[in-house]
Amino acid sequence: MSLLYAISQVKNSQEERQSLISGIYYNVTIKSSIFNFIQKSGGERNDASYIFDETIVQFVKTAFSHSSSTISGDLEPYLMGIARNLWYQECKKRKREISLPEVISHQTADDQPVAEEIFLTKERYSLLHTILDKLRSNCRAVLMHWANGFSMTEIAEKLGYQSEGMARKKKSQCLAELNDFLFQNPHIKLQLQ
Amino acid sequence: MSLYFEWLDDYMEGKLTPQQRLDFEQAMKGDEKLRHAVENYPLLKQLSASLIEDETRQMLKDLENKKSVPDNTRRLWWWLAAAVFVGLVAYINKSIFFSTTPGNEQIMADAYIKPESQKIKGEATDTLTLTRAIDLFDRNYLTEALPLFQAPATNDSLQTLSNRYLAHIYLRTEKLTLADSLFTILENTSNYRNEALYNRMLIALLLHKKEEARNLFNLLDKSQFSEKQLKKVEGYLR
Repeated sequence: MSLLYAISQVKNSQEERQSLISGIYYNVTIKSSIFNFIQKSGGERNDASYIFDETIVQFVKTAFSHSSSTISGDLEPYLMGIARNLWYQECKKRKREISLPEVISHQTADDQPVAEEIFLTKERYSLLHTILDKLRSNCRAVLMHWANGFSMTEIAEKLGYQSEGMARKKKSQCLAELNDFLFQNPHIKLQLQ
Repeated sequence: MSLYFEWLDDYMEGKLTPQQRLDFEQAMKGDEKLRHAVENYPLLKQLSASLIEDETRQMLKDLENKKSVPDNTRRLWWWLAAAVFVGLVAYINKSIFFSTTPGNEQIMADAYIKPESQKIKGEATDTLTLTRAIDLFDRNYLTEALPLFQAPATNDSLQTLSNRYLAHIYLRTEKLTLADSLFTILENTSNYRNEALYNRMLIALLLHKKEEARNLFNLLDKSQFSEKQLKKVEGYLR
């Protein structure tokens, strides 16, 4: 699959994202490439499984906020690049000494994803999920697009609002809702910061 | 919500005119929440941006659960097959030696019509849960599908759809009273009226209430059923 097509699937709609994620998740070639790499680099099977999931998360995040249409190539090597970077970071975090020259060269390439701040702790993620879960699903969609660089015109078009103005109004209401929640729960805000 | 919330982005990005800026800052003085939003704007944006990550992790979690269902139930299938075999032997013996009247299993086997799988439209989160629930139902994982259908939906049409599947699960797990009450509700919807009447008739048959079953049969729009199916049912109604 071409990378450009995969990115368009991520950006188009939730249904297309779901279908792409499911496609990657069940793709034996991609999965075994990542698993082989991790296990050959000293990781266990559960490390491979963890990196595989994080690779998908990182790819979707990057693709969703991606604005350039000049990107080319295939999805599979791109995902491998992400997996390598993530594994390198994970090893650094665990202070394990492994030799990964390919990983270092990948980090400097312009078209390769940078895997920063991907490793959220379970506690932090669960806290984030608690907050985000408070939002109604239409609010989630509007804020998610807005914060990832979609224009109000695009948001109106994708989410079925009659005009850009309606989408803008909805975004303001949803942002106020999220702000209210943080305002009423200052301890959560402190934990996040 | 203060109207000035609509100016928040423009204020943060310096796009307001000097007069608008002054107005906004004046509004901030009297509005604690607006001031809070300005102070926490980067955090609000960061939280909103992480919604895509949250959604992806939920999808992966769903896929992981989906994958684990067949593994967990594989052993159960053997038990189920054994139970079906034992049940079949018992049924054959019973038919030969004791009775000629049909049992509920036979009625279900002959007359129950499984709903056709359908695609759904609606709010993103609900759609995801319902799609998963319908998929489980289609693959006969009724116990796993049940709690997903029981979760309240955010709009009436999705709730009706959940009720429809819940009613079928109750019918297939012999919770006939619960099934009947849900099918009674569905009888008032244009989409599922005939299906609900048919299943209420089936429940009446299972409860040996032939008179009630006949009345419900008479209310059915028969054009939606094959002749073969109708003949089978008529056989039980005699």
